[in-house]
Amino acid sequence: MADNLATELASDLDESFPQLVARLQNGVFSGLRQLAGDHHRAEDLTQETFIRAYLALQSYPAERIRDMRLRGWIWTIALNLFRNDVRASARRPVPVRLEDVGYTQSEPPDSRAWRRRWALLPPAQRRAVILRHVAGLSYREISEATDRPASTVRSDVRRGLARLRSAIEEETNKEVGG
Amino acid sequence: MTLERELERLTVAAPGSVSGGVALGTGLSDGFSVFESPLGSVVVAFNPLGVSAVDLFTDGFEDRFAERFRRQLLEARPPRDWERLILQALAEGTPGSLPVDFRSVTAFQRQVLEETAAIPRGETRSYGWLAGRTGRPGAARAVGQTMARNPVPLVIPCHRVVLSNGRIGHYGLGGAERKRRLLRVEGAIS
Repeated sequence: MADNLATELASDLDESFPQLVARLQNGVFSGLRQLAGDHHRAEDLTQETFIRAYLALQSYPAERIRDMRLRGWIWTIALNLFRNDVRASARRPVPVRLEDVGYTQSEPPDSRAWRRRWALLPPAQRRAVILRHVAGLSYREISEATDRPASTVRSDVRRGLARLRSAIEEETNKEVGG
Repeated sequence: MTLERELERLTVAAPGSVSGGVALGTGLSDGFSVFESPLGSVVVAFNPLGVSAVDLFTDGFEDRFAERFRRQLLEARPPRDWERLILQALAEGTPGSLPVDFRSVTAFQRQVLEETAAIPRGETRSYGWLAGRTGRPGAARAVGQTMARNPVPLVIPCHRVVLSNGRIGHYGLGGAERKRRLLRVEGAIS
């Protein structure tokens, strides 16, 4: 399917690029926020993702841009940056989370619960569920962004959801049991 | 609520800072800050290539910038090491090691402006002298036009270029009276 925005980017990158940001930034930010478990890291990574995308598009010939499937491609960049950031932060000292010292203003109340739930999933399942249900990618787009077969992505999502359901059920049982 | 529905609720709006940061990081918009200068408050615009414009901090500076450079301006702080270089450049009337974005001028104009940047504080040169420095002694008129197109007055001291008959000549940043005031402050004229 031809993407109008891809056609516009191919004919005038500078004019159309803000539209690309406007269209994709919420999904990219939301997905990265769950992957990284941190609002500010997600903010920096989202910004960097689009800057890299712009620099890449500048170097591509128009006919290549015209045929691009933008969302899957943007996520290839976002996931690479995220992986690099994880590697780099493994070498940094762990910062104290503000909400761990009783400061919760900057984060919604359920983000801690979700960090705990995501930690229960193997990385591939976590990533697939987040891309599918938080960032809103199709299976095909996830397959492109992660370089895994669509059938594998489907089963990752299915298993990930199942694991999350049982985790939430366990939480509820604990609450009920007191 | 189904799990899928609950996951969708994790989709939130990206913070407003993202699109601004992207616009600045890609150079699609320039940042600007207001600084004090010998001529009062001035707007200094910048992008990843360097300082792109200096203008008086008066009504309509954003429109004047958009009209000339075809980019938008966003209020932002320059990179930290540039902040000091900008203050220094404005105070001394020379770019020093502050990078300048010359994309808005031709190769010849750039050469003229780089020669202009080297005119010492407290001295003046004529349009004809500058033309000679660029290897085109007959081009005094083109040099005059270049001064009028200087995107970064004060940082590149076009106010130190005067007519060979000793008259002060034009000044893009607010007229001849301001040019005279600057040269007086610098001790080039009494």
